[in-house]
Amino acid sequence: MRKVAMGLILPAVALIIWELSAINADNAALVPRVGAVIGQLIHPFSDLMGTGSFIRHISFSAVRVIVGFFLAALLGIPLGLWVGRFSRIRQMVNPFVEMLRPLCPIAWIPFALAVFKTTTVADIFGFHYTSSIFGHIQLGMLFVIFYGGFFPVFLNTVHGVQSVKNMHIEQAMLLGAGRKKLFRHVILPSAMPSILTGLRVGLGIAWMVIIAAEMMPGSDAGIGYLIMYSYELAEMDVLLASMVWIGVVGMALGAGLKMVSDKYTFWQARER
Amino acid sequence: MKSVVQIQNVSRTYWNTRGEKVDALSGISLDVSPGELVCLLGPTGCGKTTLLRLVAGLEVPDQGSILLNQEPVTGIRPDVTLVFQQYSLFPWRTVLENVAFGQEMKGTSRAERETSARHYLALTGLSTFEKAYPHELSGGMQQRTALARALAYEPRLLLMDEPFGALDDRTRHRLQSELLEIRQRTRQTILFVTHSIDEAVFLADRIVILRDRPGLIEETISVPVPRPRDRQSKDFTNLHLEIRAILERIIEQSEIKRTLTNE
Repeated sequence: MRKVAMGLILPAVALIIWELSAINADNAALVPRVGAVIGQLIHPFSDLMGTGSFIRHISFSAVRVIVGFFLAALLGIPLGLWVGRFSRIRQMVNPFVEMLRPLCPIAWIPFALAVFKTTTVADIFGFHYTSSIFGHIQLGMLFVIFYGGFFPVFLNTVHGVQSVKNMHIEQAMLLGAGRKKLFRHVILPSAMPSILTGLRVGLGIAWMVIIAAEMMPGSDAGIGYLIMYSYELAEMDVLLASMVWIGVVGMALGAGLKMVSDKYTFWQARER
Repeated sequence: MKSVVQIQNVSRTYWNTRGEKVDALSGISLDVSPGELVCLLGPTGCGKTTLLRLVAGLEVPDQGSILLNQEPVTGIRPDVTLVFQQYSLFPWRTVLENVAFGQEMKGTSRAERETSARHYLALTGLSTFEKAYPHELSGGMQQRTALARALAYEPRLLLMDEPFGALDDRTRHRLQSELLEIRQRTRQTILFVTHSIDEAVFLADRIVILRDRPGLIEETISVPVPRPRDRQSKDFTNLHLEIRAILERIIEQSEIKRTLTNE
C-alpha cells in the first residue's frame, strides 16, 4: 500500500504542474486542461476527427508491431542460436552486425518508404477487398520494426549461447546427452534468460519505432498518425491522450513479456 | 577379476599460456578393480585432473591407451560419469529433474526415471528436497545432488574431481562418510581426485601419489587402516604423516627443479 502511494507522488506532482500551466496558458490549442485529456481517454471507442477511435489506431499500431516483431524474433532467435554456437560464423557475421547495429532504425524510414512505397501486406497477398487490417500493414513499417527489433533479439541470443557454462556442457555430455539433447536440454534453457531480455528490449524499440514510422507521409492510421493529424488540426487534447495511450500500451507489452520471462528466469537471480 | 579401468603408459603434454611445454602426464599406468575406490593424490598441477578427464573421454592422450571394460576410450562413453567440484547442477531444473537427467538422456520413461531418481535421492538423504532448485540448497546439499545424479546414471565407473573440495570441514567429513556408506551398498567403482591427505586416507582402498612436471606416479599405497576408519587412530595418523613426508619431498624437488630451470 505504502509502496503504491510512494509511486503516485511524482505523477501527482506532474499533473498539478500541467494543470497550472494549462490554466496559465489559457489556450486549449497549446496546452489543454487535464480534464479535457481525461475526457478523451474515457471515450476510447469514439470517432476522432473522422479517422476512427483510439482503439482503432492503437490496434493498427499494435498489429504492425506484433507482425514485424514476430518476424524479427522468428529470424533473430534461430540465427542467434546458430551464430552463438560457431565461432567461425561469428567472426564472419560480427563486423557486419557491428556496422548495422548503431544505425538507428528511424534513419531507415525514408529509405523504406522509397523502396516499399505504400505497399501493404494485403497488396502482396492479393486479398485487398476481404480484409481491412492487412490493408493497413505497410511493408515499409514492417521493415523498420523488423530492423529495430532484430538486433537486440539476435545479439542477446548470441550472448546467451556464448555464456552457457562449459561445465554444464561437459556435465550433460558425461550424462549421455548427444548433440540434439545437449542443445534442447542445456544450451536453450541456459540461454533463455538472455533471449527473453533481448525480446523485451527489442519489443520496446519496435514500439518506439512504429510511432515514428506512422508519422511519415503515406501513413493513414495508427497512433503515430493520430498524433501527427491532431497536431495539424491543433487538437491538443487528442494529441496528449494519444501519448498517454502509447505509454499505457508500451507498459502493457513490457509487463506481458516480463510475466512470461519470469517463468523461465527465476533460477537466474541467485546464480553465479 | 578383470579391471574396470586399465590406464597403460599414458602421456599428455600441453602448452601453457606462456608457450611453455608442460608434461602433465608422462607414462602413467594404473588399474582399477571392480568395487575399488582409488584416490589420486598430489600437489596442484600434477595432472590428476587431466588424468581424470582422459578417463572420462573429455580429452585424448598423446601416447598410451585407456581401456574401460576392455574397450579403448575414444570419447565420452555411456558407462562413465564425473562429479565436478561445484556448480555443475543445472540451475533451471529441480533436484529431482537434475538427478533424473542421465536417465532422461538415455530415453527412460518419465515414471521410470523418477522412480530411480527418488531411489538415489533417498540414498543421499535428499528425499524432502526433490522439488527444490539448486540455488535454494547449501553447498553440501548441492554436492549430494550431484552425487545422486551421477549414481542415477548407473555408471560402471564413477569419477570424482575434488567433489568435496569447496565444502567446510564438518560438511566434508559427513559427505565422505556418506560416500563410503553408499559405496558399500552399491559396490560402485570410484576413481577419486583429491589434494587432501586426510580425505585420501579416510576414503581410499588404494592411494596413488602423483608428482608434477612431469606428472608421474610417485608411489602407490594400499591403505592398511581397517574400516570404519577413525581419524584419531594410530594407523590413520601414521599413514597421514608418511604420505605427508612423501608430498613434502615431491614439492621440495619440484621447487629445486624450478629454480634451476629459471637460472
